Amino acid sequence: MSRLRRATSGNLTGSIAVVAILALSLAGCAGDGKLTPKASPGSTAASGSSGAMRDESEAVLGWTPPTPVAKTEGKLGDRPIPQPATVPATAEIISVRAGDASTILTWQLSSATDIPVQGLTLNTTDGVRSWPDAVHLVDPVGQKTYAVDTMDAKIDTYCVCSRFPSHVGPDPVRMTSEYPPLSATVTSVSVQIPNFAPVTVSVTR
Amino acid sequence: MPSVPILGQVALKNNSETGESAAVATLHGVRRIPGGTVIYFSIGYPASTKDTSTFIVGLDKYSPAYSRSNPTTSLAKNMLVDTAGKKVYTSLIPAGDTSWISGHSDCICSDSAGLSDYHSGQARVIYQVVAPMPDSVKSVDVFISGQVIGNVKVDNGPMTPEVDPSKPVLVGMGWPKIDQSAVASSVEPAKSVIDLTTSVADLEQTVITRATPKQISVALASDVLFATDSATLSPKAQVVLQRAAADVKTAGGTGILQVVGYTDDTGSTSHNVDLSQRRAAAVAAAIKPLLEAGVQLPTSGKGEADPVAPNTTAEGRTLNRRVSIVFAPEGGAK
Repeated sequence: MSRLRRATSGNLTGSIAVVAILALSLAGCAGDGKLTPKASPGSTAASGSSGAMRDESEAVLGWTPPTPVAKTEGKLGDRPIPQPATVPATAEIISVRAGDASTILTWQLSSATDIPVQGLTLNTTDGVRSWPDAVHLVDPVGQKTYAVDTMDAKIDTYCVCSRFPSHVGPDPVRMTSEYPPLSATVTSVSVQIPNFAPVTVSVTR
Repeated sequence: MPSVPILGQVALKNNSETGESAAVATLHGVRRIPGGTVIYFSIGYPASTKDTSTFIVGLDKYSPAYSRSNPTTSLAKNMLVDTAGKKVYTSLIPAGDTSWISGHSDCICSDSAGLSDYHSGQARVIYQVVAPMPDSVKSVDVFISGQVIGNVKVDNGPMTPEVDPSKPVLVGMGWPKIDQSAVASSVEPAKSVIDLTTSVADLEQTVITRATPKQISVALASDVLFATDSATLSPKAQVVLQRAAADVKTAGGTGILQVVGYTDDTGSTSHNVDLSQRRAAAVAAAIKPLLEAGVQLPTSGKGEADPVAPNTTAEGRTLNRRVSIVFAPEGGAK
């Protein structure tokens, strides 16, 4: 397993600078409806077969996120190492979806206590690991451990995953990450998160 | 049911800080256009959301870009991942980018500057142009602000009808017109394509297979193979060799397989190079009968070069003490 440091979950101060508070002004856009649709090869109409454009925000935003299928209890650290993780927390697995070329883990993290984690939540006794380094999928039958996919930019190595939250509290924070494809015979995996009990989850395909 | 295409949806909530509500991001299309690939998606809060005054979803004019100059912006990255080809297609950088001054890299994407008075219950369409993909790529995994939507089909041509992108575009009211001239003049689009690395290990982390578009490396842990400062295979080595041989065959390793020894940074360079060479030779001799007939196993020792982990920790040094079997993917390096 690679132990390269991932800037992805490091100090989030820099990220805050680029995470803008985006206030969307949409009130005045009704006039856009006057535009006439135009067809082109390979295009997809903006609205229904009638060709009339209409605001479909309500239907799109009515989507309900999937609910967790499993959960595990553990602890988060709110202080840098070598301080141990002491704050009780819950990790809930929403899905492990296996495809032909990748596997996607979706999960969420919460704590009854508000924790400013500063990106060091998954500290372990042997060093600082950001969660992309530390969260694995384990196939106990095939005896394989799958690490998060990474991409190598010139400056550093980054995970193909969500950033780690700078703050965890009662309202769960959702994250996803990408792993190598599982063997076609794998029907369940163990999700292993440092400082949390391993949790077995059925794989969806 | 909405009539606009919906290729996947994710909930965006990056932190539990007070006031940040979960937004819904909806993927509407991934389209090839000349010089680039467009991600069309929308973001908005459900109508029931009461507090939209603090809207932090990692999305502004800059953050969608995977910045080559300031990687922290990748925390809110939007990108396409071709896992089969092991390539990541990140934001195109427009000509005139001033990232070296501002610390942010610009993108060819919807411009959210100057917008205000967001209302819940309204989903706004946003586009971002990433690097062009080969026609051979039929599907990708899509990252929207760090959340993944898997196995999305790639289509051709911009979504229509196109509308003025300088104003907010609600879902269903058309698709923002792509700035084709900006795409055509983007800066070194090839640099927006990044190699993907996958890693699979056995449960004991004694055999780790890492794959990139250019090579596959099956690394055997030296601590199991050898005693300290020794190049004589230990009794435990056979199990590791068998696992490694199986992984090499599964990954299609045939022909010429380079066997390369490495050490940590303890000891002199000359000693480490010699030790790593002797260990590589021992592994090559022992594993050859376990591989396909006819494979060639040239050996070399690189000592402490090319560490895969920092040598500043015991764990890192353990990972660096290894013998790697390296070969090109089937069909050669991509």
